[in-house]
Amino acid sequence: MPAAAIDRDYLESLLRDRKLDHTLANGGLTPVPVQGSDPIRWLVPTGMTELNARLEGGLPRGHLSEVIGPRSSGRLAILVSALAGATSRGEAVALIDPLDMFDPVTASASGVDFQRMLWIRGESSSSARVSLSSEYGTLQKSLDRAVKALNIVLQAGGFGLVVLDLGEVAAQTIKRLPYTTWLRLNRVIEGSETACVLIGSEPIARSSGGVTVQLASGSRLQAPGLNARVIRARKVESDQYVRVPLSAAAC
Amino acid sequence: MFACLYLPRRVDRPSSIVDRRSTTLVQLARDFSPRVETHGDSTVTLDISGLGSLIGEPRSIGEELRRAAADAGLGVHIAIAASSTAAILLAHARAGLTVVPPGGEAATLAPLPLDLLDRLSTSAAAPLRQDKAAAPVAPAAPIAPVSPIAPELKRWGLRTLGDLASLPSGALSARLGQTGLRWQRWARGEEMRPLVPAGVAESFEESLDLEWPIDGLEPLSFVLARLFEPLCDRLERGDRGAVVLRVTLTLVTLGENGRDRHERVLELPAPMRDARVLRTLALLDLESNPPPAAIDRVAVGVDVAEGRVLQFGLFARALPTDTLATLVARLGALMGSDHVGAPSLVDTYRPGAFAMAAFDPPRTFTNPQSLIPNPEQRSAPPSVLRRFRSPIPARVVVEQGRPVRVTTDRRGCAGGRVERSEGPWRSSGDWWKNGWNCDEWDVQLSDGATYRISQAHDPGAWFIDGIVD
Repeated sequence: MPAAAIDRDYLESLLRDRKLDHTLANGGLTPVPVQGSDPIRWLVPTGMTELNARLEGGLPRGHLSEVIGPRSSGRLAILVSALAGATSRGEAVALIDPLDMFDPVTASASGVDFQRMLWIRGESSSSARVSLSSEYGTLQKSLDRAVKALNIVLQAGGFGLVVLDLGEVAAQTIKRLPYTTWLRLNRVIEGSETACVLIGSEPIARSSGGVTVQLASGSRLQAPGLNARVIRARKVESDQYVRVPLSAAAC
Repeated sequence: MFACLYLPRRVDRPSSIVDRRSTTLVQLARDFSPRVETHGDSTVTLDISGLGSLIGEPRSIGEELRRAAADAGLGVHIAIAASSTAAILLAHARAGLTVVPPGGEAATLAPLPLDLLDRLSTSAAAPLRQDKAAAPVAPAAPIAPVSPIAPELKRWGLRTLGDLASLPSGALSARLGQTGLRWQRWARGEEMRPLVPAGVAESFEESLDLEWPIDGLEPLSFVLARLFEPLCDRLERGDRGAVVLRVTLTLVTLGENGRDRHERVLELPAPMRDARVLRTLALLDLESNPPPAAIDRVAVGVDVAEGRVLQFGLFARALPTDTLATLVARLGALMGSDHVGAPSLVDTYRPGAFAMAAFDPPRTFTNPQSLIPNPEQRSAPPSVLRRFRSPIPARVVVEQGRPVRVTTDRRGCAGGRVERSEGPWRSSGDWWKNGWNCDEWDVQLSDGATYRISQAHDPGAWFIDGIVD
């Protein structure tokens, strides 16, 4: 038997012993299906056909993914659409909203079943991107609490999709969080049937099996839509953005 | 065999004393048999079958009952008969102990006055103990038929139960119907229905006096664990679940009425009896509402309901109710209880109006086929707004009735030239109380972002309400 094969078997057995076998690629001895092989179980569709095609079905369960882009690029629209799809399938979902900016009225137009949605609101702030020392402490506290809340929700399990909205939190504030924060969350969610998604303006964190949906800025008033591309580990994605149409801004 | 204990009532006795004596009477009956039925607040019937091997003959059982009643300070009438009907009638008619040999019920009842049935028919029919925690509580059992036919029977010249028992049933039924037949069966001492045992009213409370006052939640968690474990064992044995949790902490500080108390009451979303869950919920609540002083005594109690039967499915991703309750309590302690829940819409057009509801997702099973992405699903979902709960004051330059420049002093909202705008959408309402009246615009600024701005009509001030995303 070749030495490379022995090493692979040995490594896989070690991973299984530590219950890390979910990260094994297809062809290994793990019984856990890989992404795309069982869309019923392992993917959360976004509700946008073009984006789902690029995502090979949807956002992966059991992994940390992220949706990043500038303001008004459609980050929240993607996630609200995914939340609506998940609730319509009877799944419970959670939205952690550290700055208390979620608007149920406009989100209801997407068809979210609010009975199945756990909304965790932080302290409201009229302007999040601040650097004043007087407001910085409050913002950092809100962020810390939101991450703790995310950890509690993921540990409880039972949710199909969990979203942490950091879209209006300044990037430098997020960077002050220890990176082990995201590693810990990766470990919590690994192997579960929950898809966890972060919304941000810049790349934050993503688990090895997760995806990054990067959005480009575009007009939301003239020809509403969003431009998205998918970045995935161990795979070369096209640099071209896919165009996803949106309906007019909700009133 | 059945025994009936009848406690004669004195009209001049206060109701509190009557209640206490009634409770003692039931407890006395329970000391002899688990199958006890109550009739009103002064009559108890108990099934004494099987006591023969333990105590002896029915008369010995009756003597034991009388002795126990005397020790409890109750002067009860006791009757033992093969049917509960005969035992009840004899206990109400004769003082002391009456024992009827099997088959001699009709003969023993025969000399009793017919007024006895009439008197019993007007007795109270409520169970002695009305406790929702005790289940199954026996329904109120009438002591005798309630239809007032005694005057008619007297007109016929009947004076005793024996007179009524000896009448031909067919003729009696033809004149008085089923009511007459029921009275006759009572008069003969026949069994009317099986005995319906009353449930045990068990109190689910535990308390602990501490040798040294404790201050802080960590030592309290150990005390609570010690209290909740036996409590939950009792809940498990009784197939009950806690629906309301009460934690009473007696503090070291003195108030007007003795020691201060810190009481917390938690309503649980579903009956639960997991000691760890109950302890966690109590601790999380006390974390949000800590006691103001050190704790001298800890008492926990629960209101109970019947235990739950859960049906799990292969495909459901449902949250167990106790996990959900713990989750919401944890999040409430972290973020504030009013900041955790499910959003709900309000019947108004006021911008940004919403309400918070309790998060309690419906327990329906997920259809696995519905998890397959549908290629024909809608591909153009609407945009969503991020709303500032406190709108940001802004300066807006208006030319030809449209905003052309938006600036603000707030950091993070740089403002800029308006590249494109849509509006205005006029919105107003609630003019009779705290109304609003404004024009809303969606504007795309030179920084690429799209904002929703509004101009209030009365002062004419502009605000940034949110960001379209």
